[in-house]
Amino acid sequence: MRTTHGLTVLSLTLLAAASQQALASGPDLRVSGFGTVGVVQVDKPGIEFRQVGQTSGAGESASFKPDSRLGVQLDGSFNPMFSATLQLLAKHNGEGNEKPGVEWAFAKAKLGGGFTVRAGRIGAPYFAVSDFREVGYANTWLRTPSDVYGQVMFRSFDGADLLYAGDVAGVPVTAQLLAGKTTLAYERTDIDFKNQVGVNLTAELADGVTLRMGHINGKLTVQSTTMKQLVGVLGATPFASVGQQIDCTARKASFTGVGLSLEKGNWVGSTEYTQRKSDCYVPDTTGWHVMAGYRFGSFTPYAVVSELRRNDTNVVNNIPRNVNVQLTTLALTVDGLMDSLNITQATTALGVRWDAYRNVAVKAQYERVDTKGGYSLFRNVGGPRPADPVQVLSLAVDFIF
Amino acid sequence: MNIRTLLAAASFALAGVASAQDIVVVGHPSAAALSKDQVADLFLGKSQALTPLDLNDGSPLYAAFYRKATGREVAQVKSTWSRVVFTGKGQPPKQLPDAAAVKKAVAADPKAVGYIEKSAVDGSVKVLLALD
Repeated sequence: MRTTHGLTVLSLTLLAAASQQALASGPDLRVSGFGTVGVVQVDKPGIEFRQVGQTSGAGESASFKPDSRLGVQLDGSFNPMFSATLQLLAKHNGEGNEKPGVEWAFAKAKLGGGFTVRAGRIGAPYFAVSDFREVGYANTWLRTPSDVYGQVMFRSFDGADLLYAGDVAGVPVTAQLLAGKTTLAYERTDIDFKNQVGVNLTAELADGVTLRMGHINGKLTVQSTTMKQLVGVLGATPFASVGQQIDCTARKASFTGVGLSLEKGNWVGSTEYTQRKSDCYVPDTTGWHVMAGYRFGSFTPYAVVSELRRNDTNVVNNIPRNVNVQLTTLALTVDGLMDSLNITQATTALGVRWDAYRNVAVKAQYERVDTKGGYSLFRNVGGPRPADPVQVLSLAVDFIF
Repeated sequence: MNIRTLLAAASFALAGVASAQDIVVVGHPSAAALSKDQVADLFLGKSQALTPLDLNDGSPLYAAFYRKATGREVAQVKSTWSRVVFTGKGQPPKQLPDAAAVKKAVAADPKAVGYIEKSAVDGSVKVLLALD
């Protein structure tokens, strides 16, 4: 992860400069942080609940791994125009450890007229709550619904963006144009998403009602040796085209989403509709959610209904199963791969947020996940396919400082 | 649990005292009056036109001010600001210890806006909005 180190050095240099400036002209360096101590348990044997990409998760015995995390953010202001932000985040990651990673490290310049440019490692706007999805305290729900947020594991990009904030016909709007690339480990396999370009638009339609639309596309590469071997083997058969459909090397991929969020009086609510597409074996999916909550004093009970559907495997497995053993084996291997990528599921979640103290929220969430006969987003660690909906119980304490 | 209950009871009691007081939004003597919406936007991070200043977030006046100016409880205010901070978009208002510190700060900066009890107003500051 050379880029990570490079960014760390860059951002530390920027922040050192910022803090020197701060010492000279007043306290312009701010430290803030957030964290979650969370525990999760499922009720079926041999499967694990994980956040997308994690190497291990929660099974029948409770685990702190899926949700627990700690983030620290440094904001340094050079002057009214220039500032820099560094955010470090430690959580159980796709490389199988909890080492703090550089989540963000960017320099920002306000250009005037509502325009801002940023460069460095920047939060990627795939979703309605992309930027603060890791900040449990900032969200009503215990975690973002996997049926939507499990489609994309990337949370940032290395590059630059242009932001606009202003009024259009009396409606407060924001616009973001971005270009960049990112690499992140998914269960110890690096996935690159390069040549990214994206746009993200928000409009506050009425007080507390925000509409959001976004699209990001780029070139996806899965650095998987098993995938490359399979493509290679298929290339030596008359069914090389199947391998070509699987091959995920610099293939076009995109993610598009539209959402609406509401915060009015004691009501909170949100809905999102999202689509993932690729030109390789990463399946095309649709994910949506509807969430509603109502605040009674310091308690906010809420419900979330969500669904993730695989629309297209992107691979037509036309390898015959009755010609010879080799071809049959290949056909079954491709079938197995497609089966492991069948992430269709539907979830109903009920939870409550308790604002226990000024900067502390305690949450409990119960989920019932219909895996539609497969493992879906649960990882198979030697258990049978769940015949009944999987029940997931989670407790979390979120804090900010 | 007992300590928390006591704290909660104490803060409710204090909040009750504070909400009985009138709170005013104050600024530099040369500053223009503000509407309640403008004040809410400033203190919830939606507008950067002026520099808002807070009282200590543990003080009863803090809770009473946000309830009156924005209609939000402390936890909602904290949650709103955590979204602003952890999107890299801004920083919450600096917290000052008391009305005297607020008056001193806004008298020295034409862009600064704070809030104090009405009874603490003097000639060094201008009332930009009365909340009651």
